[in-house]
Amino acid sequence: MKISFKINGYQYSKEVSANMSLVTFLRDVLDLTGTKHACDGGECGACTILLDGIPVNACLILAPAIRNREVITIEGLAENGELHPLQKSFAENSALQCGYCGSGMLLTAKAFLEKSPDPTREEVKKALSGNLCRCTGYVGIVDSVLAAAKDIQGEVL
Amino acid sequence: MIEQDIKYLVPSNIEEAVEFCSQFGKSARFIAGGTEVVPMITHGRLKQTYLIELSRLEQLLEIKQHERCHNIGAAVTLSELQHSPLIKMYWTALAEASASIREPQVRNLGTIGGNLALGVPSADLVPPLLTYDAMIGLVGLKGRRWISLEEFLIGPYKTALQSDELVVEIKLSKPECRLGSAFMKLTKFGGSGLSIATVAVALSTEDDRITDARLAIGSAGPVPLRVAAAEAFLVGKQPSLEVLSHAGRLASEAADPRDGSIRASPIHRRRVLIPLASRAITLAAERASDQTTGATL
Repeated sequence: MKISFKINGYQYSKEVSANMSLVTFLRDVLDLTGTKHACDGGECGACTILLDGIPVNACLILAPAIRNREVITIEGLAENGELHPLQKSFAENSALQCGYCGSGMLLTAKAFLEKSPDPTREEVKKALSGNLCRCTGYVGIVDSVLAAAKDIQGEVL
Repeated sequence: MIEQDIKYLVPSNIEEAVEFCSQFGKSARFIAGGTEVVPMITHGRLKQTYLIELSRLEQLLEIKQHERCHNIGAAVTLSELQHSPLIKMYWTALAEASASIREPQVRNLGTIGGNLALGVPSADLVPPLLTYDAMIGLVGLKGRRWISLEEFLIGPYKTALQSDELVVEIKLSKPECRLGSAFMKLTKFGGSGLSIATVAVALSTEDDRITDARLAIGSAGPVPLRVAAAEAFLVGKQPSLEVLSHAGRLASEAADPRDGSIRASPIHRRRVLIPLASRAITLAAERASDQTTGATL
């Protein structure tokens, strides 16, 4: 079926198939390989994208389900060449080692901070509970989200 | 990815969804949140050729407030139930059970209808809904019918759904006395995994005495069920330690866990039901008495 949808601000009109999950469609058809593909069961969060602003696992959605909706992938997080405060903060705090979980972590954190701009450490951990990291551990990641929250709040003030 | 040629059908309303379903029969199945169906496709295990999308049907997406009841559309997500002020206030155990399922991203997709329609013995929304005497609204070729959740659940992975029917809404009637309710769940790693056992309790109290008691257990047998013996025992009592542990034992005795589960042995499931039930009763009683002393809602 042919559908229209938006990804990272760009309008697309494409033939899609229900044989394909969104993560495969993004990576193999649209060449947006920043979204990572791992467990295919919604357990690891590596493929997290924002669908109309809500974090969901792209491995649990079929490509036709994004018709007339807006998807944000990691490629859409920086704006006009300027890194998002979360991206800066992850880099400054060395939050990532291999980086495989990073795309999902960042997008989950972005949606979370929009809802909870001034979170506690516990709230951050809970918000990221659907994203697994297998190398650095979570301390640097949680620190980064808290630092980014302060940074974003500073900008607003 | 396995080569299959799956056709994706987008109905414009419930009636059209039913028509698609009767037209394609066994080669069609409904898809709502997709958390069950999409992995089947990815792993090449989907038997059907046609998928009928339900997740965007407006009629299924609302939580409606009526004077005597609240109707929850079948495609309302677990996240919405978890965060809805209405659900948290009136149907606390349902909000807690929704929050206990899987990861946040999965809860943003998974739906209440999906949790019920598959008839999974460990479906976490079932015990709270049983304590609320939930009615399930089904629509098929012959139109709409209502069935109690107890009658809806026939056995493991078996429901009263006819082949042309889908779950469209869940009706929760407001009880005469406000209920305090609570949901308790044990999982293997204390995280968001599948349940080892669950208990939902809904109570009304008067001067700390229980006047109405509903208790249901889940993941503890072929289907989640109400425990009439524990309910009858609790009425008229104060939730003292002895009362709690006896009610817990009654809940445990009602369990019929299967052998050979990879999650837990029958003896473990029976044993953990005792503290789970005691804790759920305690919390539900606290909530019930808070409501009577607090502002009326």
